[in-house]
Amino acid sequence: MKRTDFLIVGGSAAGTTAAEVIRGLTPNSSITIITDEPHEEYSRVLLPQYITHKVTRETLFLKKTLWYEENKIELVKGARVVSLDSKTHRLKNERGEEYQFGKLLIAVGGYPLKLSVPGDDLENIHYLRTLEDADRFIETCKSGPSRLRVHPEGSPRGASKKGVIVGGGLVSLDFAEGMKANGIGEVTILVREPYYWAGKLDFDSSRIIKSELEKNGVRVVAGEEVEKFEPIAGLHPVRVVGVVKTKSGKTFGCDVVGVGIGIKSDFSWLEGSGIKIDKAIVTNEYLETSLPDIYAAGDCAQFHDVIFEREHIMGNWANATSQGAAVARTMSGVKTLFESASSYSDTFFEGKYSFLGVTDEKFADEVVERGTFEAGKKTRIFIKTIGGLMRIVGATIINDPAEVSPLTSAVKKKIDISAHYKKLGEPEFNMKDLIA
Amino acid sequence: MAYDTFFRLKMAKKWKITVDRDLCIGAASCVALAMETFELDSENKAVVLEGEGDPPDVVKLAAESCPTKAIILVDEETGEQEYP
Repeated sequence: MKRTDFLIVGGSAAGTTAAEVIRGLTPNSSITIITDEPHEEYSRVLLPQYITHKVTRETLFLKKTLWYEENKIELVKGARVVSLDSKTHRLKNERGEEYQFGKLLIAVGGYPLKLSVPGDDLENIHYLRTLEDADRFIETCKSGPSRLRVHPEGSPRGASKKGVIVGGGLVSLDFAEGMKANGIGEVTILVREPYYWAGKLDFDSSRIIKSELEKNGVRVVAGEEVEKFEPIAGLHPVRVVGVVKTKSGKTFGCDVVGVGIGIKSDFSWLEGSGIKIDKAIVTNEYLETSLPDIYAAGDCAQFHDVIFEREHIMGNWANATSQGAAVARTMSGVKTLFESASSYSDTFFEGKYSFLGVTDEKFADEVVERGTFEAGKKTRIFIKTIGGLMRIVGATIINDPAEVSPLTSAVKKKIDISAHYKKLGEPEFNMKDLIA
Repeated sequence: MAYDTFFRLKMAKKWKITVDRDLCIGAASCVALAMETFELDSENKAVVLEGEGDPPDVVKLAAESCPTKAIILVDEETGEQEYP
């Protein structure tokens, strides 16, 4: 059995940042990171740019082997953790290696939800979470049309290839751009909901995104739920996906499929440990779990957020790094309250979107809208009165990057916006006045 | 000597900070970790704020947290690039 002062499960943003901060505060401690991936830390945020060939594979890596050596951080790669004994402070990985820890940080992130339908085990159906996922996706797109393709809905030999994407969220935007960049001629996104990104966006914001997709040759078909995948017919040695059938009876031929329907953490290894889990691992505002000496950070933490005075999960890179930094201080004996309002921004084709704070209509008292579909930009500002202050608690921002910074500041600083409230929806209103 | 002054003197190493705007995507982890040093501008890209800023180790952590490696740190004394 190995002994380590600080054991971190998960080697991405939260776990690696935590290791670095712990090292700075406790120079003589032993630190071990266990990750189920076979790599040093790399940037998941850059995977979309990797599949569109804007960055090289090497660029993705944020840490090299030397960094772990110099910082005396042991990195155990390619080993899934299988059990935790919280009483004896012991943890075991799938290789049977056992660790005794002083303090444990759980920063396992999430895995893509699998679409569970008949034919889901066929080849060329892709998810996008890891570097291997990205490599496989590029390989499928680049491989020539299947020689034995005879399915009537599929692409005939010599024709341009077809791609189908399942799900209406951010991963589908990444897949769409990725397919186009890899020469897939016809790309169709199937969305179960009545419109793209319903549940996160209003109809007009969604239309702006849809129109950007269409401008780039990507078709969006809403209200279609996948019933099954079917293989290419014939004597192909590998069962390769050739058709997507939907519950309404439509069929879509395809050479490649991308699925982006959400993520979920794997907590099966925590069964029997006694740790409190709701939608994710429940923590207080210090990222301490219900068990002593055990902490959680990043996408797998359902933390008490002091800015919004509620418990929730924030699944984005900025949240993961800042939680990693905060929890590391607490674990090192400098008890640190986690207080940060994070945002997530990205681009797709020429489009830009940002989500910041809490964008939940049920949580907000009111949502103020700025911009229109016709103007090609739309911002929705979520307002809630907390502790007597009329505050901005979140925003969805499509194609208006200038609004991100002032709105983030207003959220973080808990600014009372009652003086500006009436003007907020007017296009002439300068967002910077909120924080002036 | 105030603790804060002592802390800053002890951490005397200073960075020349630049942001590669072509790489920056506005993920904002730098702003979350070092809000006295970075902010987002009207294009939702990180810019370096004037003034004292955060202690150098905090700035280094913020640079290392950038998922696109858009923040470049040069040691002001030696002129050598320290990150990435």
